Amino acid sequence: MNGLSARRLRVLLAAFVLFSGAVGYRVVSFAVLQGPVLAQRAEAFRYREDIVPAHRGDILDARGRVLATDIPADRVSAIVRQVEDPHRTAQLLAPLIGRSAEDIEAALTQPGREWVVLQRQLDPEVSAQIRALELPGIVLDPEPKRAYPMGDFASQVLGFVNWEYRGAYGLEAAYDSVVGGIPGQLVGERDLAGNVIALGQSSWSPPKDGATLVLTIDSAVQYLAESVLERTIQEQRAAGGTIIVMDVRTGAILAMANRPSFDPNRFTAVSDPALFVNRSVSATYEPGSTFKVITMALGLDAGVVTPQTVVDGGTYRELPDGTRIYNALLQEFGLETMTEVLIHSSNVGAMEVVDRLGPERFYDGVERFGFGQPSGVDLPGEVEGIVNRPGTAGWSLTTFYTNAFGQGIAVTPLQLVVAVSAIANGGVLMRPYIVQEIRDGQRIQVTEPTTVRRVIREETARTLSEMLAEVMDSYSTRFRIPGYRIAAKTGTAEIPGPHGYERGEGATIASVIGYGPVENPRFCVLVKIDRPKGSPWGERAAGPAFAEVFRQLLLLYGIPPSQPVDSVAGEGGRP
Amino acid sequence: MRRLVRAFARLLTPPGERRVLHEPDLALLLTILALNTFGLVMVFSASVGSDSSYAVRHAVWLGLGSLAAVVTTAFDYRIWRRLAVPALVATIALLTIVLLPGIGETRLGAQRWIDLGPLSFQPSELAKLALVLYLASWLAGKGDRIRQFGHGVVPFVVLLGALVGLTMLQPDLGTSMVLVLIGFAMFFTAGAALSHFAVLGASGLAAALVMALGASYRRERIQVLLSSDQELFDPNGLLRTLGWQIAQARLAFGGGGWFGVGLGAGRQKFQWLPHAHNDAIFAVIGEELGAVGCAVMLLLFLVFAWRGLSIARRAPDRFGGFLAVGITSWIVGQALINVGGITSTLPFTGIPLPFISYGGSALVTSLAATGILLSISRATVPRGAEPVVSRSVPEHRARHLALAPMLRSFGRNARRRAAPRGGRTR
Repeated sequence: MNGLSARRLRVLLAAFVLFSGAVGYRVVSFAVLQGPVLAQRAEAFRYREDIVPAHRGDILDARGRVLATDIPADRVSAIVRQVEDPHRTAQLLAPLIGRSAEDIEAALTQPGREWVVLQRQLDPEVSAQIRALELPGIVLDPEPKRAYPMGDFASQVLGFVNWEYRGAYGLEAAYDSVVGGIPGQLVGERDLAGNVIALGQSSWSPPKDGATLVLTIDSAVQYLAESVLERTIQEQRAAGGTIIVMDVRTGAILAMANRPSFDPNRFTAVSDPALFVNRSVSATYEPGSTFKVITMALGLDAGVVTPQTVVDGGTYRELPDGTRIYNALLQEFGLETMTEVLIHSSNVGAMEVVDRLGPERFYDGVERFGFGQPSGVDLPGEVEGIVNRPGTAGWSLTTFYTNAFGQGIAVTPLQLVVAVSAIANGGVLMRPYIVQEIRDGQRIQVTEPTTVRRVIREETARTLSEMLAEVMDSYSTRFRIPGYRIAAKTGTAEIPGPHGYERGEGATIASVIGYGPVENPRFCVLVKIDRPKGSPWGERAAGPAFAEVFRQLLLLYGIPPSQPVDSVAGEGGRP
Repeated sequence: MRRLVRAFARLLTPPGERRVLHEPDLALLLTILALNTFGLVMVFSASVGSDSSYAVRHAVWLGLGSLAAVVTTAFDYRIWRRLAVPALVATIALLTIVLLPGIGETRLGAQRWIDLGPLSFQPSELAKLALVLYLASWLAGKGDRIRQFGHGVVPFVVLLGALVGLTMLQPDLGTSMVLVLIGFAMFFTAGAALSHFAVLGASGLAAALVMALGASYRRERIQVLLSSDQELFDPNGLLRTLGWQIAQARLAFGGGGWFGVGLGAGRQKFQWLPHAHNDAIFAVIGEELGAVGCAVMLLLFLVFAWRGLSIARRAPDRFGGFLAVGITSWIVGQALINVGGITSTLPFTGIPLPFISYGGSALVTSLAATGILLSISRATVPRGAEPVVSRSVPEHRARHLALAPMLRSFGRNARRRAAPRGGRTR
């Protein structure tokens, strides 16, 4: 024929057949023999479970003002494999996403990563700019961002939302399951960029949006408290402070201001996490003379003293073991009534009251007032404080007598407010609360005020209120609230350190607690200034702030004065 | 003008005596149709995962290729022998030009393309055709002297070495492998001495080994080929580099099982498998149509091989026979190198699967070549029948002794016909 070797052609064909057989064997080995293993591997590549964050509920104040809300934002990430030019990509992205180009380039070139999140919670304008760059391998995904429109405002009450979009600190944490909703889940086969393959199997459970919280916090009162606190701290060159305003009839917290604080929009800028803690409930202090209100309430209620009971106030009281406990500044008041004991802030007088009460009645009473136990407020991280009862290691005869004027006992600011509010509320202690309503779609759950217990008799409460109104009058040269009868007591507490109480400038906590109007008490206000340097005394450092807050508060709620506004009662007082 | 037309007409007139042509090989024609239909469907399916406009463009290329195939089927294949030398010269020139900086376009790390405005083409595509044409022409004129070392092996090695060398410089390992396969297949069927063949094979293998270990990316290919599953899927190892495509292809086969997940239902083409519509399309077939689908496709190529080599055996002249061997081993060889690569039977190289992969100029060239094969099938003589032409015309024997005299004689056909020169055999 044409001279081509038929045998060699056959050999060539055989070679083709043989090699096809080899390839066929490989295919069968992958498809069938290793099929299950490879299918599993493929799943690891393709199946991805995406959490679709639920819309987080808003947090509103009592007037409906938005304190926290969701706004749209984007997350920018890179599919490392598809990034063509890491250097150029990094250079272009750096100015937009606020990371250094070297940083981004390192993230894009680090070994073993398929997917790198480059920046999160970008504003929509920034993500539009990134989208316009059309960088290969750079992907934008929407994700919500938590915004706090008021910025540094009740921030320790609100807390903030962490990168996982879960609440951290404050109400965001305490009510996380309520506000956070239930995240949705998208499980399915993805392409390399993470998009769900339409024909693949996927399951989708939509997110359930979180409920809206309505707080008892009144942003007007909160603003008042924060601005007065801020100003006072500046004037007094103080380290910090707290102002709490509570509705004594319900236990609703109208304002809770702490300094120092932070802007929850920029929580990442905070280096010290201690700033996130709400010191109104999570930190204790020795209340000092403000605690004499409690001592007096217990003494009056037990009938061991009346307002007219006269005690001989020397400079000190000598305990059976010979320990002498002095009045502040070693003052000598002579004979004084119980009302004068409060006006003078006489330690000797207060010690006489607990002496007559005895430890059991005194400490039972202190516990009835809620000290040494959580108040039950719906804020996270509440501490109990320290009340050393007889028989415990911390107790001694000395602490028993010093407890009478608020030393050797640790309370949270909120505990003191709750206890004094009970006196204002006719002797009935209310559970404090800060969430007024939970609005979950159509379901609205309203918090009803909760009575905890009666602490003292109503009559005792009324008597004490009258006494405290006189005490308030005694401060009138320092601070006053013209036209209203307000019950108040100042306190200047020393700060226990590792070697006894601290000495020197800025070594006190100046505070005023009070409520009013006495005829029909509505609000209890605590002003606590930590380490004031202007004046160490409660009356001077915290008093004007107290008066300012209370006056504005009464104005804000339209409570009419009960006396002619120009009247000035009482005379110069004592610290 | 008239002279020009006449010259052109003469170029298209087959040399030698007129032949009575019959119908082309039906089985081959049907196989080609089946493969191309299969390819169109698969490109459409695979492009769903990336860019579905590939399917439309593939259809356009397929149309162009079919046109080319019809034309080459219609003409007597003997006219292509005139192009053997110019095609080789042009190929060597283009293979050189593509390496020049500024002309050759670099894509995916290799300088393979020549950009012609909207079109671009790979000279290595042309190299395959030129090699087949030239070798067929050369071997047809050689006769039994192919068994002599000096007459057979030496020029063969020089020619193949030049083409493969230039191709490797791009670097294009895949095309080089196809070129070697074509050359060896043709040289083998031409009756080269088995001892020469063994030497050639051994030295070729040695050269391949040196080359493979010489460049880091080739070394890595070998590493991928030899790697265990564990190594291949190591996210910090091979998976990051060249192993990714092979690993994803393996996952595709694994997902397919015996019968596949169903046409169009593959997942790996969704960007997991790079070049799913192109070099890696066999893996998409594996996933969607299973091992059975792969087997059917392999069988179609084997039918192509069987028909092609059968045509070679029954070709009326040696040129036709070698041409048929060359074209068949080109198409089937390239197919096997592609599927061998994607199944990690061979080192993976980026060459398309003929007729199946997304088209471009490669599809047109392979269809045109297939047309030539069909045109040979139109002239075959039944087995046992007397060949219409038993031996090639002596003048052809004289033309391929060496490149230089052959180049000199190019274009002087008319004069040569007037004065036959028998004395130039020595």
